Amino acid sequence: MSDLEDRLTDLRPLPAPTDLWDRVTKRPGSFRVAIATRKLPGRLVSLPKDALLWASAAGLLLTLYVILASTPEVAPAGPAAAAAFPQEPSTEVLEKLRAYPHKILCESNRDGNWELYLVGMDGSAAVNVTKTPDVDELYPKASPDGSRVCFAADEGKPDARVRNLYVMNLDGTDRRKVADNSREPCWNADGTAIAYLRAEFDKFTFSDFATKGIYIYDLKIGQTREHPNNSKIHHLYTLNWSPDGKWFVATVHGGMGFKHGILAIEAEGAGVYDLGLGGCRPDLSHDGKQITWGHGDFAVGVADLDLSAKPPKATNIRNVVESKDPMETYHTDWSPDGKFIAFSFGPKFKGKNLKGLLPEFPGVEAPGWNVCVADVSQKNKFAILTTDGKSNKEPDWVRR
Amino acid sequence: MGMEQTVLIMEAHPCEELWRRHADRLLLYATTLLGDRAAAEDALQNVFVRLLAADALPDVDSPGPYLFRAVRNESLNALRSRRAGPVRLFETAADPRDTAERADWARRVENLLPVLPDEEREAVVLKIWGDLSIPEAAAVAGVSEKAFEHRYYRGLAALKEKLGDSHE
Repeated sequence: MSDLEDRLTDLRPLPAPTDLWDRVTKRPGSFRVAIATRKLPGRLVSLPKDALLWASAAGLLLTLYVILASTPEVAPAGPAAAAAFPQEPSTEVLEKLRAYPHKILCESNRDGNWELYLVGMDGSAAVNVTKTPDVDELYPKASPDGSRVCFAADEGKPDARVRNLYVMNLDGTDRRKVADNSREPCWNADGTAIAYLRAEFDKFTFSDFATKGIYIYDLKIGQTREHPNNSKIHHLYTLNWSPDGKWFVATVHGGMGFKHGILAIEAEGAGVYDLGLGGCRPDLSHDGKQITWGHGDFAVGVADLDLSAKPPKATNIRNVVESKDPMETYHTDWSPDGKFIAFSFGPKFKGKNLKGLLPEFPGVEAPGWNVCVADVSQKNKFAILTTDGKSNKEPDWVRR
Repeated sequence: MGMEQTVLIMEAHPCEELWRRHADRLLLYATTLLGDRAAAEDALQNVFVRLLAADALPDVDSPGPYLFRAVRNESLNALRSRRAGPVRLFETAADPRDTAERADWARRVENLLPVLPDEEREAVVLKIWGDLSIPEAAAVAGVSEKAFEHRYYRGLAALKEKLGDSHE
């Protein structure tokens, strides 16, 4: 090596900013997956392998969380840490829900296979509504009248996996395919059409934002049409359709000129507007006047929404639930009357495999995760509906 | 009924180790490609975000060259007509005893690197500060080893000449 090479080699690169890794791992709502900025305990919890003991394991997780939350060594940073957090599920909310007529659909993996389950508020056992041991059903979305459900189904051999969309009656009858290689469906207000996002690639991926274009399937005539601005639409996920049919609301990740955000997209035009909500996975209230979303990885956000404003805007932003690392919140969903919000709640584990690492992705196993329901009129008051911790996620209210 | 225990361990994602080993050098490389430190940070961030989103680490023998290729692709995609003047690339405050001389040397190299033709600058950066072998660096740049060596030594010669000129 020459003298010049020696002298050049002697120059050391400027260090990467200390917060850059944090920016990678804490990118809002998407890939905060691996590294905590503080030291976590080496062993989080021991879980029994025996399936019959999962229920007690879920309780153990919750108990452990309470312990962790009160242990100084693991005190979390950030604004969410300062908020009070319930030390146990709210019996008050549970009592309110007992008389509540509506039910909740969710995805769950109880025996190695994903199915859709219908969960009542009365404490009765959840009902498997799909019962297909060879197909993984995910991401349920109940029709506005509660009679049907559209959902994603991961089908095929592992090396030829594909996520397709189906619709069926809530009792499992009249199951029909809506679209091949697509995801993230939603209903229009009168239940006559389903909008969805087509997958970006032929090769299967769990990444929910790997999408390209909005498509609309007319259930009456069985035909599909494209969004008029489809050439400009990509990397959306968690699609919603406003009750007046004029807007789609969805998260965008690294596309359409945005790094990450929740967008209002004209249903029949080219207008695209950033609602300015930090986070992801929005859900519109049934009257379209409110929005809830994952306000970061640890909070359930709520805001007033005015889609008729120019441009559309979200105001009065606040949190209904604020959790603490490592217990995260995702997949928020308004109840039909707007009094409650269902959400997924559980721990994120670190490791090389997806299991437990990316619980926010449909179809990725999430040990210890359960469906909860929060009272919108209070802060941090919620009931835990499922208790087995078997990847209970993506709750969606079913009007009864 | 026996209670067989499965222990779930909170552990660092393997990407963190890659980050610790390569982030500084990747950032320098991206900065020389983009001519903009903030844009380079964005490029590096995007590469690792995608890496974390993947099911597992890339199945490659040597992750270093893989990461340089990924950063190169990301940077070239992001490249606009923003390349401007010199940008800070090197650390100079590590040893206060020779800060002045070291800082002067670093500034001169930083000022001259943007003047080199793109291909020669990339070759020098990959070989010197990327700490890659000739075959690895050639693969990152997408050229044959012979072509890469040609670029590298021409860049080195140009740098030597300009440093000599600026020194006079």
